Amino acid sequence: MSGVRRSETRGILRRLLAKRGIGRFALFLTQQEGKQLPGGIESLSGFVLTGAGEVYGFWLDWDGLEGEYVLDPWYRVADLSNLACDPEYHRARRELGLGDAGVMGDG
Amino acid sequence: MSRLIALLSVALLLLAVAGCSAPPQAPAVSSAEREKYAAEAQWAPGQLEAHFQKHPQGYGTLEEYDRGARDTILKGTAFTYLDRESGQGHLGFYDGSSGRFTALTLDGRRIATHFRSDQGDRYVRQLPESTYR
Repeated sequence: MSGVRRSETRGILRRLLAKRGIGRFALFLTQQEGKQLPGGIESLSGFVLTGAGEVYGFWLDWDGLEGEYVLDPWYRVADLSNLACDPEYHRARRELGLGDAGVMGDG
Repeated sequence: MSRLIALLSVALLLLAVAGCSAPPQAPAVSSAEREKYAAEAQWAPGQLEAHFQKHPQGYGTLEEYDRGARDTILKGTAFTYLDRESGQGHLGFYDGSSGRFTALTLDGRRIATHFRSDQGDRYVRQLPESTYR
């Protein structure tokens, strides 16, 4: 059951990220947020690492007016120094083959 | 007697094959560890603001919300669970008297969320591999 939910959530995220021009990504520091969304999935917060090495914070939610899933808030993390010692961030970098270079970001 | 042992062995083998095992045990988190996590755990960049925006229940300011998250670490029942999306282990604290829940990464260094569950302890019990009892 949880696998099904995870797969559905991942599919929704993939679609929302594709709209933002992000095709290759890894998630890290994700957390279920306790709010049930349409489709039987749960709101989710976390970070997206893109293939270009950029990091965005996100919150998967439901826009009741538009009747669609949204990433709100969605923000770029310019200063990555806070993540430099984070094991999940490094796991995500390895997943995308980015290695450990450039973790300080562009401030 | 030997027949009984054989029957028990077969029963245990069948349970193991069916994926059954002893329920996961809640972690032993010492008072010192709680105090350390409550004092030193950090929100990842932008996450405190985002979480306060989404889960303001009962809090007037960002500082109150952050303090509520840390108070729950001190007061709540400690347990572990797996994040459904990443499969990573998390450390949870649930305060039954307030219904408040704080989640940390397993190393206790990051606050992953804090909110009041509108399902009471049913929410933390149904988290994947939850050790909450």
